[in-house]
Amino acid sequence: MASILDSNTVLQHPATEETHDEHTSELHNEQVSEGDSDCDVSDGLTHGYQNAESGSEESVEGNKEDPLRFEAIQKIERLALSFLEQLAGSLPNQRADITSIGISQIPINSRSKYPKIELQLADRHKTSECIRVIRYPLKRKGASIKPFAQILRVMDFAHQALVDNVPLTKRDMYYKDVPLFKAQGTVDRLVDDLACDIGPRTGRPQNCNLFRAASKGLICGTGLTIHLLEGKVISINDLEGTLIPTGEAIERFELKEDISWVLVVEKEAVFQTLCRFQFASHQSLPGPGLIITGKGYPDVATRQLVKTLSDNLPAHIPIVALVDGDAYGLDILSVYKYGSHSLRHENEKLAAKRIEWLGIWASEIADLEIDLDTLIPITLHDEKKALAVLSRATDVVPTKWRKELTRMLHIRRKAEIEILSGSSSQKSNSLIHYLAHKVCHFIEMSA
Amino acid sequence: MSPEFLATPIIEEAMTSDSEVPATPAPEEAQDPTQIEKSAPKQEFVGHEDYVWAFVFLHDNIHIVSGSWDGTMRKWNCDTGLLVGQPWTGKGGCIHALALSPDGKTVACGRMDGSVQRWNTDSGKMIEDVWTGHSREVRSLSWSPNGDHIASGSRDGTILIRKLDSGQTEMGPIKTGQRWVNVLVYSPSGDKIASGGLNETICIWDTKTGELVIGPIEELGASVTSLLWSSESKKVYAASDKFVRVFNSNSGIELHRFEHNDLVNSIALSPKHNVLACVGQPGVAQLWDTESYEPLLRQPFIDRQTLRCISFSRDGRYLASSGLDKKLALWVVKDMVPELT
Repeated sequence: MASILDSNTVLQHPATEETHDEHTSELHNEQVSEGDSDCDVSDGLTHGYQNAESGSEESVEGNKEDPLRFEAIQKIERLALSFLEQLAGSLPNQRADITSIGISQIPINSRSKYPKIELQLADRHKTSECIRVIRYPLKRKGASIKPFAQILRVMDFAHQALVDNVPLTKRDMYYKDVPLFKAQGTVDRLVDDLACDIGPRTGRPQNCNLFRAASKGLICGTGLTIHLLEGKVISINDLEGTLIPTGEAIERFELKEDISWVLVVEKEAVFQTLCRFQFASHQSLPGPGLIITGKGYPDVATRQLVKTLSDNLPAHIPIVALVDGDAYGLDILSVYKYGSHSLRHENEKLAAKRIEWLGIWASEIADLEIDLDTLIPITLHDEKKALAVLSRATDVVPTKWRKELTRMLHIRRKAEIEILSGSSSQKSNSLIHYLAHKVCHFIEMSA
Repeated sequence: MSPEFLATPIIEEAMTSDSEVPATPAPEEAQDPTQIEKSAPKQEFVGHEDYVWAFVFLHDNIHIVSGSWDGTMRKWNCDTGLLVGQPWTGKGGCIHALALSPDGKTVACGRMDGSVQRWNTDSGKMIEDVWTGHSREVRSLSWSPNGDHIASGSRDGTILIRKLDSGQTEMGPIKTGQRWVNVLVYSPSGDKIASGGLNETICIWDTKTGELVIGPIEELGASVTSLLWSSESKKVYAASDKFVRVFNSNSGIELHRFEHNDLVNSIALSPKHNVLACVGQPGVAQLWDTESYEPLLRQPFIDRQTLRCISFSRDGRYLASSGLDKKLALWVVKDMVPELT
């Protein structure tokens, strides 16, 4: 099933999705065949997202039509009311003429011997408009209040998130009440079903558009084509970044040319600079490559992409990362390479073991003819973070990282990528020169 | 200057230069009385601004021409240790490969942009006709023993054999299937050429027909970094992983392997003695007797450095090495192995 939902799906108000869906479906109708003229689709998506990138993520959501958000809020409230009414109606001395309003209605007078409460939710997994019912009491030995407790809690979180207009992921929800949910999967299922119920109807129940992963990672380069489920194709180019789709949406990758290297950069500004210089196809490199940025700490989609490349590209194609030579940069690299601290149970699926630290190293500053005094002094935060990273187990902090962090602590200064493009450096375009040389080095060493 | 605060062992370790040092901290040098004094290089040639990837001894046994990632070639004097003239600068980017003509008058270089240039070794001037044809960088070059042809191997996986006088491609592109053609060596007999590839294989081709005659010889453990023919063209030496393997060039059967501590990047045969020199990742720098297969040195003659290229002078007197430190080192073979006459 073409589900693009995963445990990191962000609960956005549906408006964003409506717009994009309309956009893409329009393009689809115009096209001769699916997968053909795919540059139109991807351009549309890219431009849509690119425009969004100019502002903050909040503005993306805030600018969209609020009526749809309010509609979702209302639907949740109605569902809650329906539950309350049934609860009230199931009490012994209930008047029979109370009618319940809301999506799911059960005639109160058709009561069986035992009072019954039902909440009906759309079932994503069926092709027709089937409904899934959460019943109380259940015909089983254990407590049957739990499903209700869980769905109500999910509704509560969802409602709050919509009201506050704050993104909320399924993972966040799970961690808000682990004893209640017990497993991530429970939250996932409930959120998905709820989404179908309160989201806009698009005629295909399994294509619930309410929740979309708000991916933020970008990729540029040539020679890679991403085939999505449902036939969409994303071609990337070396002039501008393309938004990285979530792993679940991807059917397969197609590597066309002889990609020679993969570079992950921490900062979006660096990424944009490299795009401007078309670094991915730069002549001083022995072959074309891919440049990826997670814009700081990478989201799941970005990590999935890097991991896929790490697992599938041959060993002579290096995967390297350009991060600041401080504890935060290394922490970000650590997320790519070993997985994030909080998600240790998922790390096997997302760790890109092959990625290496290309730079920038405090120890190479002298070689680059950069004056040590031009480096930024470290703050107390830097120091604390560095000590925290250094205190982690040795198998998640390679010796090279240790040495560089210790050096940073000693000289009380940190090497940031910006120094390469600053006026203190001798050569013009020194960032490009530095990267080209380093990438060549890693290519040779990987051969 | 001593670190005043944070004076922990961790800091001490961090302050050592670690550009070449392997991950584990270097153990203290054991004061072993039976260790032979390590010989020091006679000369160090300093000047290149980037890795020295390849070099050749000229026939006069006095000069070396080196090619570097800095895009230049430099001519050095072994007696004085100095640069001769100015660096030879040309277009095309990093130099990945060099080959000397049999008459010693021309050196060919292979560039990042896939071009092959020829330079006069006396004047240091480039010969006008630059050859293109490879779509990726030229990684290997070999001159035919009679001087009529130059073969070039590239990252694009092909071999081109060009006629020297016309510059025309006489054979090729030979699609090796080896991914990158890292090494290319004509047999001394001139009728065969051996190629070593990224895909960890060796192929031996007929130079007239371009057909594969031996191979692909597989299971070499890592991509092939260096190849040599024995003087009668009967054997092929290959460096790939930590073993240097010797093959019968007619059958492709392995005859022997020399074991090292780490990956081997370059090998050279002495023109005078039965000595094989092998260098590679830090800790790999050894001389072997090719008859008895015994090692000639008790410890590596260079330590803690990655070495990429090794070569003997024509008279077998000198041995030169280059690596990632932008320098070349010149050794006197007799100082290293006194028992050789």
